Amino acid sequence: MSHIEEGKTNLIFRDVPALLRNGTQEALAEHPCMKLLQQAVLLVAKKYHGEIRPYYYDYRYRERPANTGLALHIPIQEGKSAEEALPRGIGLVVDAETGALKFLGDAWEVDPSYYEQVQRTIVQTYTALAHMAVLQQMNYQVRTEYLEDQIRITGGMYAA
Amino acid sequence: MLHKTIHVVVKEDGTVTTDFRHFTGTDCLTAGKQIHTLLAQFGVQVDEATITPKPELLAAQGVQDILVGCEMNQETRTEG
Repeated sequence: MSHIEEGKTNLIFRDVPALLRNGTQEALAEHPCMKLLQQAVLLVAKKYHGEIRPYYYDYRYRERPANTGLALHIPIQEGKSAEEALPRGIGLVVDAETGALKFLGDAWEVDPSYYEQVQRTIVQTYTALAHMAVLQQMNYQVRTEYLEDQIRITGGMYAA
Repeated sequence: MLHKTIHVVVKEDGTVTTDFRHFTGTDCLTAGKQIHTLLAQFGVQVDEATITPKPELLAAQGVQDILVGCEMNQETRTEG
């Protein structure tokens, strides 16, 4: 038999808070969730012509470290509204108590819908990468299509 | 014989639709549970999940019991 499942996703990295408290930055970077998160942010940075730094800026452009070592910065681009950029960056921060992924930064003069869209795209990309990794672990052959507002993943079991 | 395939659509609003095709018996439910377990290792929690069995499922005996047993926290609705 076959079926269709539909659900909403949340990202909660339950064992990361312990690493944040007791582990080294290297151990954190080697955690599978952090590796996947870095891949996701890299893909989103490429899509938005941005870059990754280990910190974001507050309103006065003082550096604030992101505990994941990941903050996405998107410069103002020619031909685009200045509000569609993240000059101060947005930090990806794991809550030290719950492990929930949070986005921190100063959205001054950033279009609120653009600010939210970037965050949603990071979560969407991470979720898609996690599904790809899971299907590969289950020995499915995986194909991915990146469309306008959705990511489609197909896993096929083509064993002889 | 048709190959088992799993189609996943991840939307921008965080909704994920997973379509299991060409599975036999309760294999699709087992695969679904495995996916949820493995996703949890990556910190992906699936909330408010609904399961829509495909028409061929209706022919299977005791399927509602299996669904309820497998997915206690999920709302189940049938189509077809």
